[in-house]
Amino acid sequence: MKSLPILFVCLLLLTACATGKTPEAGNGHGHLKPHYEHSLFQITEQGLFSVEMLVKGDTMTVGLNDLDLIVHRDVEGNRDVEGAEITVEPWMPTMGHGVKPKPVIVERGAGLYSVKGLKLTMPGLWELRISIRAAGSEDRAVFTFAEVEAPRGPHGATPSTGHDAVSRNLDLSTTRMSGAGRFRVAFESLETSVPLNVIHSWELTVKDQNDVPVRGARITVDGAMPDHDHGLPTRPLVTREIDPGVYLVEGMKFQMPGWWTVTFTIHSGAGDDTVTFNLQL
Amino acid sequence: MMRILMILTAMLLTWAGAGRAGHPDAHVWNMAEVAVLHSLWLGNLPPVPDDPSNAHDLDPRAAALGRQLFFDTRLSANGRVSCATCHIPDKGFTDNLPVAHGIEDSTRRSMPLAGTAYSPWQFWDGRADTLWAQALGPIENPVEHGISRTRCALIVKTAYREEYEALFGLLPDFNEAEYPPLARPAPDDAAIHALWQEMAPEKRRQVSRFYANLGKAIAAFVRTIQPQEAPFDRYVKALFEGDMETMAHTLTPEQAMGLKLFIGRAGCINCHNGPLFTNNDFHNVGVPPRAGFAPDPGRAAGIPLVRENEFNCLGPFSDAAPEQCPELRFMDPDTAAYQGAFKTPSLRNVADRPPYMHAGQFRTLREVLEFYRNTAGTQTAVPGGRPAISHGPLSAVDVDFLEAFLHALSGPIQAPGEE
Repeated sequence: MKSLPILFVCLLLLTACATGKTPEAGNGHGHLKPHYEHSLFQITEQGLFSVEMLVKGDTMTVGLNDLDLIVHRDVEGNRDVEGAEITVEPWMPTMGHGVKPKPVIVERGAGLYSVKGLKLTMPGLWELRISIRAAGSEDRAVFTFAEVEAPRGPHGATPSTGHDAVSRNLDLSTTRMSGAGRFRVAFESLETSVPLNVIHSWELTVKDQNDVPVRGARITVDGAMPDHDHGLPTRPLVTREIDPGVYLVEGMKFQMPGWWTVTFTIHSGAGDDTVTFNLQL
Repeated sequence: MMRILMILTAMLLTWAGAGRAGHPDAHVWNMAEVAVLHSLWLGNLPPVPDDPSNAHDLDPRAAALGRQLFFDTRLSANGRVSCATCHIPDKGFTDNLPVAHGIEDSTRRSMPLAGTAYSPWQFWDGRADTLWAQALGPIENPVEHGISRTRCALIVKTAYREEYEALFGLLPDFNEAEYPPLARPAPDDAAIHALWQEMAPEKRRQVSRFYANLGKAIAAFVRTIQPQEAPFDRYVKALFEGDMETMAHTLTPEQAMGLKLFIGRAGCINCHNGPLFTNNDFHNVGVPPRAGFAPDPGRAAGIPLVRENEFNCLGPFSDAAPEQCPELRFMDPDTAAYQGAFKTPSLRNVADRPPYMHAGQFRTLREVLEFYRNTAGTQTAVPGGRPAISHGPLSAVDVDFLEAFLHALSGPIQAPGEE
């Protein structure tokens, strides 16, 4: 847990820095610049304030988060913004909703504000919309967190609902060697991920042991759900070779969540072999 | 003594009730569960997909004409049957009968229509792969509307000529002398089939082209029939927002416990997944045939029928290019694997529409759940069929919870311009 010492150092430095002088001058925004290498830093929309954010534990996760904000303004002399009214609103732009419980914001002096109990309710894209009102002026900044994830459990795994590929520690890699080691095979869904209940296509890349694309192979596809004694609802086919060694697989579809296997049998001049991928949907 | 017993019984009941209402963890969800709830949330449903096989499916004029046709009883042998006879708006666009009844009884239950535009397959056996082919099936079925496509052409020519021609161009000069009103492709009736075969190929093509257009107008209306937010969706939204208070007001602890089972040990989510609570796939879950009915092959019969359906996505009346029909092109042709398999119905509004299963075999949700509870996943209804049931052990209380939860899936059904 490398973040703990970093966090500790940050906490020591924060007070010192926020109360101390920041002698460096002169960038695009006057005197406003970050203090810490690993912080998130923004000038507010109208350029009135700077907001530097330090997330406890380094990353935002689903659940409760604590963070520190250092707020400065671009004036000569004391740049620490004190007595500001600050609100921090988490927002999911793709889902059009926020979070009802409000985080607690405590001013610790010299421009340092602690935000405690900031709740993010689900994984995905989040914005933190921060508004600052101080000395008769108001401005805002939006920090974006592209992929907020669930916190890692004690064994580094996401909690799961049942017997699935994740809890079985199966190899979920999308690049694998074929059974007899003849080919190196990789698949990629042409959707953003492998979707449930949507017919879609894959690209299958086949190379030999020397990393040379395998051209003109005959490939068949078979999918199965080992826990459910059935296969895919479709009969997918390799319909053409798009590029040397890159094959289009049409008609892929998965109709149940859980552990799936997809097996490709590859016949080529270099010999025959099969490769099986595990998927968790 | 009797009095003491009664007091004791009352106390026990109160205690049991308090215990059940407690369920302190009912509204607590782990991250994996939250992700699953998100996948079921109606807010996660994409817009209705465009149907490339129907060039008119987005045209409001087609939907308006389709709506009129949907309710028009003239399109039937006895002048009393319309689409709405079995797909009744006030009953969630289905009826409350074990098997559909048009001109006579059919052999299967009327399917609900809300959200069906999302499905790649129509009917219990998926014998249509387009919404417009679905609309056309019952019209020529002798036990449903019982009317020929040729008679439909003659009716539309007088009743809807202007609306039809604005969409599809000039109607041919349909007349009874050259277009025998009974004529249709009729595998069930040799004499009527002969009438159809005696028509010139060009005239048959004209009638079938008209008939496809009729289906496309009805489909443009049916695609607008969509489920709306149910208590379950409000609950999930409140969960996203961390609003425990609204959660606790929206689902009872029993319903929340049922939801936990639904996505967990009861395994319902295996097939009833996604925002419409269906994977639109076909499964033999071992439901016995309706008393007095022969075993129904289900999807095993639907596979050849959809492939041969002249109104399918790859057919001469489809507006789609072949590459826009992947479901049909890559359909699993293994009929043996689909013996006795039927389409997974959506569970939205399921509590409002007994009886259940493809032939109304079960009168109540309770009966359905008890059937699943007692089905271990080894038996099949039809020899050679494959079982498709998988769940953990379920108690009678679990069934109570599941039943309570299913009531949380009922919301309004939207059908713009419905009568």
